[in-house]
Amino acid sequence: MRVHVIGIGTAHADDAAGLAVAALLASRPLPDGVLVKTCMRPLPDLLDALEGADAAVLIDAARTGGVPGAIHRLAQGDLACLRSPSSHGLGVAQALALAAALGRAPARVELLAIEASKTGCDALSPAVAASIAGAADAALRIVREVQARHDAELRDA
Amino acid sequence: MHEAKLCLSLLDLAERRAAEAGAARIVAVRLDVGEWSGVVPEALAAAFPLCAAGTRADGAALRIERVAGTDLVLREMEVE
Repeated sequence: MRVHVIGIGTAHADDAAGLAVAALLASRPLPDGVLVKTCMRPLPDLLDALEGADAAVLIDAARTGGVPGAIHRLAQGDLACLRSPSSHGLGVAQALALAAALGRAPARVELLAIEASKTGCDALSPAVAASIAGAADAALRIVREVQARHDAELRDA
Repeated sequence: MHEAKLCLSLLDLAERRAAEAGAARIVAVRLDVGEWSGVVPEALAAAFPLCAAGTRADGAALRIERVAGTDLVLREMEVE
C-alpha cells in the first residue's frame, strides 16, 4: 500500500511546522511504500500530493488555543474547527472533500497538528522547534498503524 | 484531480471577471466542454460546488454544454 506523509505549511514562522516534520522524515529510513511530500497551499497542491495514495498522513500547524508545541491527532471531522495560522484547516477539509467527490480520496486520512505559538517571526518558535522530532515519531507510528491495519485486513479478506 | 484543479482555475477567472464587472455574486456559470478536452463533465460538476464554497460563486448553478473540439471555455456567467 502507498502511504503519503504530507507536510502542509509555508516558510513563515510556526506555519512551517508541517514542512519541518516532513523534512525530518525524508532524511530518515522509512518503511516500504511510504512517500514524504510537502505542500504550501491545500488547494490545489494537496490534491496533487494525495494523488495515488492509498492512505495519507497530513501534518499541519494549528491553533486550537492549546500550549505551543503540543501535538494533536485529529479526526477528519475536526478539520473545520481547526484554526491554523494561515487557516489551512478549511482548505485541507475542502481539498479532502474535493478528492472524495472525485472518487480519488485515499481510503484513510490521518491528521497530525502541531500547536503554533501566537507570535510570528521568520523561524520556528522554540516550543514548536522542540516538538518537530516528536511529531515525526508520531507520524511514523501512525504510518505503521495504518500499514498494520491494512495488512490485517488483507489477511482477513 | 485534474477536474478539481481546472475548476479552481475557472472559478479564479470567473471571480476576476465578476470583480471587474463590480458584481457581488455569481449566480450561474456556463461552460463549454470540448468532446476531446480530456475533461470529464461529471467530475467537473462534482467538483464545482466544493470549489465554489466561500467564493462569489458559492451556490452558483453550473451548466455544462458538450461541444465539439478540444477546448474548455467559460462561455457565460450570470452575476448580480
